[in-house]
Amino acid sequence: MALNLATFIPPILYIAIIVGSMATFSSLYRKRKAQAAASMEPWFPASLSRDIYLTLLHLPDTPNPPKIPDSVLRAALLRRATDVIQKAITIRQSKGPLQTLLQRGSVGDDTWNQFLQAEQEIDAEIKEVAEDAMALSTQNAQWAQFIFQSAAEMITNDRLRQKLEEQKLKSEEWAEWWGKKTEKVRSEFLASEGVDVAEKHGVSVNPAMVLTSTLPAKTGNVSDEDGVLVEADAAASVASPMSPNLGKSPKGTPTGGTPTGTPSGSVRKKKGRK
Amino acid sequence: MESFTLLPLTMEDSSKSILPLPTTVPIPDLADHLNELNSLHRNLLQFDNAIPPPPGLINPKRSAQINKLRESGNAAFRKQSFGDAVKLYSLALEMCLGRPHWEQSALVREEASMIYSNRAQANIAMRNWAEGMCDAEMSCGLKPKDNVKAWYRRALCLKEMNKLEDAREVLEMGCEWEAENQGKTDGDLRALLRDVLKLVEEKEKASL
Repeated sequence: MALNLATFIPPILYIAIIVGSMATFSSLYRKRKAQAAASMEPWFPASLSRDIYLTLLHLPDTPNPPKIPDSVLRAALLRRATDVIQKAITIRQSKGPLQTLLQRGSVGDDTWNQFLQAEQEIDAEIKEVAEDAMALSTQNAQWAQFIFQSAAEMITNDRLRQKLEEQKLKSEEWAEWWGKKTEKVRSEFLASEGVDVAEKHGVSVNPAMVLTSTLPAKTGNVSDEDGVLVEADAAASVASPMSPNLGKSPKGTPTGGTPTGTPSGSVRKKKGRK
Repeated sequence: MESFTLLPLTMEDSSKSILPLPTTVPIPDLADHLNELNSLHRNLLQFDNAIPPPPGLINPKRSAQINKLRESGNAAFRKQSFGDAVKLYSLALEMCLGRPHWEQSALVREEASMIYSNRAQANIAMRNWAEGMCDAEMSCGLKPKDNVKAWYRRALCLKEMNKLEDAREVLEMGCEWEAENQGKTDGDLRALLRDVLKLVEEKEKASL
């Protein structure tokens, strides 16, 4: 019996040492990994809309809280949803390229892990927002079903408005450039016609009025509208010497096609005059 | 993600708007965020329970108003009072761009591109080439496909402003977008392109 026990001691000791060292290693390894994950720089900066929403949600816990109506919470949640959607889109768009970079060895494993963590967090946040939307929805409107649709639409609309704003600035530059150019040509034209520009400018700033006064036939009905048309006509006729090729088209008052007509209809009319 | 920063916020009772409490360390962007939140909240109050409807549901009143303004713009154009037409189109445009952001952006694109195109035509009729070019450019940018009129107007304005190279570029781009309907709708574009090319050639000859 004693002999039997003695022969069992070495293998048991061996197994105990192996299991023990493995357990220590794994616990240490896991601890380090958790530490690394915790110390990882977040993929996205802290989201203010999330903080605002959660603060509003938790305000009742603070001393003498204001009563936050649900409508404010809904607005805050919608803003948080737009934030989340934007991040989810970024994640989805960067996943493929990042994977390629990882395969080529251009980015390290830590970046990839960071990215995977961000992805998980965003997924969790989407779920959270959906749950909260469900809690805030009413019987008539199951908000969780379309809060993200609304949020995504808000993002596209924001981008569209931004783009339009940029385009508008560009357009204004064009208008300014053209205004200066026509102004220059017009003053040259007036000078060549022998009109004392300087004197007339002292009287009226509007060059159209100068022109109407030099064209007695037109002065019969000097309505505001006519003034504009005359100015425009004059500008066109002034423009022609500058560009002799354009002068061949007769510059009458255009009738134009109706804007709602068929594309070819309104366009063809214009062509006919050329 | 289990934690969050508790922000110093309070609510004004009368207007239900959220305000920041004074802090020693100012939080960047907080005021902007709260402003946006408050304006969104005010806009949402028009709905039951402040839930915006899904993007597919459109406020029919606004669409009707936009259409009405555009129609009266067209009527003014037909009566050749182009200044009025431009004014009416501008109003319609304002209504269209003022659509709430949770409504479909595709609709805004569609409507705005049409109104811009019409306003371009009215500006062309008044020989405001620069304005016409800008409007047509907006229209093309919003809806490049199936918008042959806007492409034509944009190029026409550029040509009239003696920007032949730009006009040629625009026409070529327009032709590319219209390639699907080749031979059916892009005839005018091609005719104008031929004109412009001829002008460019003449100009080169003259400068030689």
